[in-house]
Amino acid sequence: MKRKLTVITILAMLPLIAAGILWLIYRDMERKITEANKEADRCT
Amino acid sequence: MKVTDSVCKMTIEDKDAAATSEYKGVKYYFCSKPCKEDFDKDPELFVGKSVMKMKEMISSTAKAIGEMAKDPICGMVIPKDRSIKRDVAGRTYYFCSENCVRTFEAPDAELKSMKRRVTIALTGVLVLAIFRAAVFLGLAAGATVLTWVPIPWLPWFTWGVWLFIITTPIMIFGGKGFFVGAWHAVKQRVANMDLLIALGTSTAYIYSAFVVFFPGVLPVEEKNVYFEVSAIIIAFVLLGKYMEEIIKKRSSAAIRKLLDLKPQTARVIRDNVEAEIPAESVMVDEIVIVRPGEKIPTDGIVIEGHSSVDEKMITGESVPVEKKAGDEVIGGTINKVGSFKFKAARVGADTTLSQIIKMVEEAQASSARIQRLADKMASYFVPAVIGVAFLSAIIWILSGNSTSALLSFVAVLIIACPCALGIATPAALMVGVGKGAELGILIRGAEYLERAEKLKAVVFDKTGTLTKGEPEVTEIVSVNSVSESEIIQLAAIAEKGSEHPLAEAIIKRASMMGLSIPDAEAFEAVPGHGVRVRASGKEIVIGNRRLMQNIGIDIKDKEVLISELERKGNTVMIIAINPPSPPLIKGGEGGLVGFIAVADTLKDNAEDVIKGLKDEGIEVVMLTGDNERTARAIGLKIGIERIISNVLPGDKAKVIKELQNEGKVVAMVGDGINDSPALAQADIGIAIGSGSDVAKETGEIILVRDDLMDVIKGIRLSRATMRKIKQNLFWAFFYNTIGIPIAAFGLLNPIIAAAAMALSSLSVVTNSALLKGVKI
Repeated sequence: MKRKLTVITILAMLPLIAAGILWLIYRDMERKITEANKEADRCT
Repeated sequence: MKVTDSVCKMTIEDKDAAATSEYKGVKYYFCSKPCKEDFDKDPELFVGKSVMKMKEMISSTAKAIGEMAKDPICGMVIPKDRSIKRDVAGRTYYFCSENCVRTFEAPDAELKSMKRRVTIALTGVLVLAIFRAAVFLGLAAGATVLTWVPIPWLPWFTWGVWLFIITTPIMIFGGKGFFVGAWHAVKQRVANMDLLIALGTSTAYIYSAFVVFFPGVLPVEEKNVYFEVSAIIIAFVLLGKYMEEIIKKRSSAAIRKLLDLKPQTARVIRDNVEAEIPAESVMVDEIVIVRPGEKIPTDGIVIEGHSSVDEKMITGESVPVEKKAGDEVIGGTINKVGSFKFKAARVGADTTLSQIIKMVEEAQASSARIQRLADKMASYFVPAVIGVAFLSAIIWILSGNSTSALLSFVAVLIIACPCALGIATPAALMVGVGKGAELGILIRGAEYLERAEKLKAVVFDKTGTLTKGEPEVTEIVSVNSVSESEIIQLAAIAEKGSEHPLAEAIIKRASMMGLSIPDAEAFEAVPGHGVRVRASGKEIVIGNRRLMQNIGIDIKDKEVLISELERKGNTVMIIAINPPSPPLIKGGEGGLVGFIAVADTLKDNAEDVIKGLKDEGIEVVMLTGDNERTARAIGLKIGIERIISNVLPGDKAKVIKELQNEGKVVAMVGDGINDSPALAQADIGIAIGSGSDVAKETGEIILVRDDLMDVIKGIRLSRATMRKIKQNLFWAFFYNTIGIPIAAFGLLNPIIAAAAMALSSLSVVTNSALLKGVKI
């Protein structure tokens, strides 16, 4: 029981790590889009 | 019931009316209180049919009111001080009613609601993880209360109940959209991603709830709960959808920008008095006055005066067009230097600009939403999964074990829904979009990438897209041994002070050559033909053939040369000094001195881009409102064989449609308002960053830098991102597909389910991140 729970606990944490990485990718994209938008506004 | 506001003519639902009024036993509905107030002042004006009275009313209202603004939703012109104001992104918008405010804010409202649902789902998943960690640590410390063994004083309250309590709100609030989507899919007899998610999560949830509340019914080894499967799948798919929506959010304002372009007021002559009125109140055949720098309020025919008008935004013509009596003017274009009067020919919804707005709206509404790749895969996967579930159940029944039959059926459905399905597309898209932004390419949504992969034809607008959009001196031809610098100097003296783009091109060249440009002593503009000036003891004339004929300069033997320059797409300006007729300078020796060819020049790498696209197997088409001679000259220079010239804005969209009807996935690259219907009609609208705001808002891919090579880079990036999306979908389905036979054999347990979720989500995110390193 204890071993089973340990494995499940670790595995259940992994999607959260994936969500964390996803969030970092999202923040990076947001930053780059903001910079590109500023540049686009300057171009007009 | 739909009713019309008698004052502003806006159509509203009677129940949404902001105010009502009764007159002669009839009830009238209004979109806003100001409309009701106007109506109550003199109802006869609005219920009666007298046009004269209406004119009077409009004139008097226009005189009485202060600054006007246009409601960005219904287009009604309203006094700023009596409107509802909203500040968005540093800009103030004015609305006639709360209805319009709600419509304006609707896109944000949807995003906010999605954010709420994502927050609920992710918080639930986080709480579940904290609980699980607590249980794990508790067990490690020797505690047993939160296991299947009930708490002695609360016998029914087990670990499973906790999971049920945490997961239920996620299912209800987070999963609602998927259940509705699945229901629609079932009604339309199609299998999509929503159906797969609804099937997997609801089966896992209902089965787990059954285990928790009726534990005695199932054998001990089957008493596993899968609440986390439901919670994590919903949270991930919602998160993915939310992130995709954020990327799309920036593309929702195209029509608003077009409405902004419409002039708000017009100067008309009524009862022999000049009056400023809302532009929409101009009536057909009314005389409108336009002053230098003003926007032309509506379409019409010039009756008095002359000027040059910048029509680039509507027609794509880079050089301002000379307007004199009898010429047509287009509403929304900008008058440059002169003043003129024109008779309104088309007003309101019939104007060219209104027609463009209508075309953009129609093209955007009619653009068929393509079936997303994830949905396409789900459409094959769902029937296969249901088939396997039934097959395993039948085999178990035939082997005489009906309990295992039911359990294997449920287990197959639970394991079939990949946790990473929802993030497979947005994860790759976000990296792709981020990389694009770094390269100066803004991509507005995943579906455009999916379309870009199948791209067969790219249509380029000419002015401002393939060309710089600003005329430049391309050739200087000397006659009678006059030096090039002298020709440019003479032309620059004549054109100094002129705002005409052809003149600007000459002044620019003169500055580049370091020439001094003395002021002219006398100046005479010859409308539509050129100018005559007197400077440094000479008379300088610069203009077209007709001007030369009028002043007695013979250019017959140079006709071949001029025609050749024109055939190459140039506008040729002829320069002469001291002409014989009529002589301004008596006794001066003069005649023809040379020609200056001015043309809208090609962007530096236009030729390489066209070649690059052809190498990728993409057909290239040039589309322009410009004349055939200029278009063909430019097309030949850069290697475009298919050229469609003299195209009106509406016809640009039609040409795109014709190409689409040939079965091609078409991209349109453009920069002007005249391109926006075609950008909206194309499968992928690519807007140039230096172009108009409208084109940028309508386009799905925006090239921030004014570099055409980014068209190829954008297509390559789209293809690279699509490859990642496909790989992600493979990884998303891979682990769960392995789990299906395990489930069919009745061997599914929470460890396998958790492993499938963990591995698929990590594979997808890691694989997406690898896109950062791909060279474009």
